[in-house]
Amino acid sequence: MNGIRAAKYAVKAAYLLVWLFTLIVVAGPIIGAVSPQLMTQKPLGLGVNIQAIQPQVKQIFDSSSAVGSHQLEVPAFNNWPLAGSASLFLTVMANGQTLYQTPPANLRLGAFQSGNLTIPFDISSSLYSQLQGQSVAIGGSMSMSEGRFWTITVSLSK
Amino acid sequence: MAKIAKGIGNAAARFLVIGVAIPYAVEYFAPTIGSYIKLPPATEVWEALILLGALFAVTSFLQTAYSNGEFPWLFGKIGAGLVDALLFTYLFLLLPNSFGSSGVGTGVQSSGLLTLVYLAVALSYGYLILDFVDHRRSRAQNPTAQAS
Repeated sequence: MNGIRAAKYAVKAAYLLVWLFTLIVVAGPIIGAVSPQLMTQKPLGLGVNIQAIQPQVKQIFDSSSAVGSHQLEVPAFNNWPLAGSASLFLTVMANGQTLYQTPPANLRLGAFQSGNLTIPFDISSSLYSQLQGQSVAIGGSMSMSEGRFWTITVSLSK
Repeated sequence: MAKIAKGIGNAAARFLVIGVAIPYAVEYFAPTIGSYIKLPPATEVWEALILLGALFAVTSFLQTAYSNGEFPWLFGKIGAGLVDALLFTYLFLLLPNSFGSSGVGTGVQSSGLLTLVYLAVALSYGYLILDFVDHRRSRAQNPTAQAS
């Protein structure tokens, strides 16, 4: 095989590897957004189980000790061969107005690692009284990153 | 004549996928996507993707209707790399920038990912040049085998 032909195949192999890596990077958060709805036991990709938020918030507001400091545990998973990170903050809204915003919780996840985003959720007595009789909605923002390659930030509204 | 027909068929297929199917899918799923991110006006997405679809069609035609070693084929290959880079730039960079903010920061930061895409395009050009040189040299050394 001559030099040009050998170089040609080497460049082609490098090209295919870069595309394959790009596909793996792109697919992680996309699969992570879809798979919790399809496989609840061990979802694939990089993602956050935001469905875990609503029951915990409801439990806090339904309890007799709603006023005070609480913590929300939101599962994050990275069943993917690349390291990633997840970040989440929540807002409490009533009548379209944001009355409270939690500090952001950040979590770095290695390849095939899972963990919990721990979000401090402090309800003051004035906030609690503002929410009385109102239709409370939970919103916020969630970011997922795969290294320096890409970060997706989505707003949550519920 | 068969190669021209094949080229037209491939061009039409590329145009239908990029210029029709993708914007249709974006518009169809707009209510779902819109709950997370604010989409740009549908007409804007259609215009951009129809233009990109047309560019994909032209480059696809040149690559299929001509053979490796011919200059139109080379222009088709070079154009295809550029159009690939344009499509990904639009999807990952320009489109999220036009989303705007819906109260809290929303969008995609993908400069690292675009670097990977551009690297892939650059490598494809490297392969293309080497393949073109290799093909022309093989043809010059053995014209009968290449003609058949």
